[in-house]
Amino acid sequence: MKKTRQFLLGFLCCNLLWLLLAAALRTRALPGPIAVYRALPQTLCGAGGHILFSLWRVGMGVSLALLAGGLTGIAMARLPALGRALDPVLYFAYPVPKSALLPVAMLLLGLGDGSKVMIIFLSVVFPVTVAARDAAKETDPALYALARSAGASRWQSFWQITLPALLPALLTSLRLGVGTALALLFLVEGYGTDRGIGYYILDCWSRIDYLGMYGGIVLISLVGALLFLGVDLLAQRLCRWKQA
Amino acid sequence: MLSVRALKARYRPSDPPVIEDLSFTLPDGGSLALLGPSGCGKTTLLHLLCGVLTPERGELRFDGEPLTPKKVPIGLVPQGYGLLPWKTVRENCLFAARLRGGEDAAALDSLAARLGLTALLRRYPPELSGGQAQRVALARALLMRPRLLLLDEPFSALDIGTAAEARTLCHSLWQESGATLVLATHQIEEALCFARRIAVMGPGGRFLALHENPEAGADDLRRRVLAAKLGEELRAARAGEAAG
Repeated sequence: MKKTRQFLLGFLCCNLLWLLLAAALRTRALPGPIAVYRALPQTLCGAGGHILFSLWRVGMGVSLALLAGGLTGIAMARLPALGRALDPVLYFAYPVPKSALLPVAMLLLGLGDGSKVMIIFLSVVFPVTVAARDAAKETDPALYALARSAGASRWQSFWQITLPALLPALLTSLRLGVGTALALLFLVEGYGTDRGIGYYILDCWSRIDYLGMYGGIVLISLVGALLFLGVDLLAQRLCRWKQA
Repeated sequence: MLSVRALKARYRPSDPPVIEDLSFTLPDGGSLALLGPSGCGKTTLLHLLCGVLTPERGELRFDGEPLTPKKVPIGLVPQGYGLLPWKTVRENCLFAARLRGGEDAAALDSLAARLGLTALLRRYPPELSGGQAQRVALARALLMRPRLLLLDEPFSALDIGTAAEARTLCHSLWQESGATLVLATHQIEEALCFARRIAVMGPGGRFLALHENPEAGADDLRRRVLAAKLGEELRAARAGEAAG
């Protein structure tokens, strides 16, 4: 109950700030929240299908990043030579703005979903790799010693120790990754498609339909909040020991 | 019978050997305490015995067969107890036995009652005190029905009163199990309480001295004399370590 109250309070504060800013600027380019929420049912009819396309792209990009980044991070922690070889690659490539690689993605994978998923993947995989590597390094070696002394195979050690130890870090990466991926939709869905919430927002913008545009932004925000809540529930279920 | 012959081991090829040319035997149900300063190779020897480390040279046999966790049930209580934070006390207790395919819920309930863990079975390790965690680690090792029981400084993190209680309980449970015991400790009192044989270890994992302690568990003049002698030898071993 307390958490719900805090959540609603946060939501109200954001909208209050929006209201104050709109009132101060008094421009068509920034309608107030009340007008945008009034038009939301209409926006939802128009944008509902677009959201699903966007969720598919975000889901693909983030899932691939979690898989690739998680496995790479684990390998870097468990194989010191590989870790030393990949650390410079990680440190140099991490700060590169992935959106700047959009032309490269288009050349490699075309204008379709491939390049869009690739940019989302590249933006999310680096923080996932670092989080997985650090979590794997911090796992108590005594746990592996215990498993080996009991006759555990490598697969059993991975399943019973490595994966559960990494879970909190991977779930944190998932939260960050979802946020980053949703924010990238505006860029990656601005070309080569007429499907997706990013396309919808740009389309409304080009038609000076500001209510639709901000409605689309509100929808991304609500979808993001729901996804975060979903990850929180997943964390509560899978990481009960963290609440102990 | 546990047989160790000409054992040599190091952690990395570039490191100096931690154990060099160590040989000893221990009869079934016998007990050996490894007494020595930090870094003399006590934990390394335990890791060699339980298959965590592979020796560079030498032989480890149990009843004439190569000593491996797959062939011989080995119960290990590592330093720090090695409890899996994401598993409940119940799941931790059964962890090692399950890996060997020998889960016995009735045995767990009986052992939990003796160790005062019944009310804690649903808790997670972060909720446990040091003494409780130590008992969980012991229960986990004993539920494997081990032929070889390895304890790595199992009471070092406990206060004097709790440690004394834990020692008494652990001693009686070990005797009932009939397992061969190897205990690593830097406490003379623990060595005298548990072991029929006490080895004072020095640099290179060598046995600087090996004493028979026929009255293990009893308190008399001979034990006090032995304790004084062990104290001197331990001080000498520490001085030898410091001199490099």
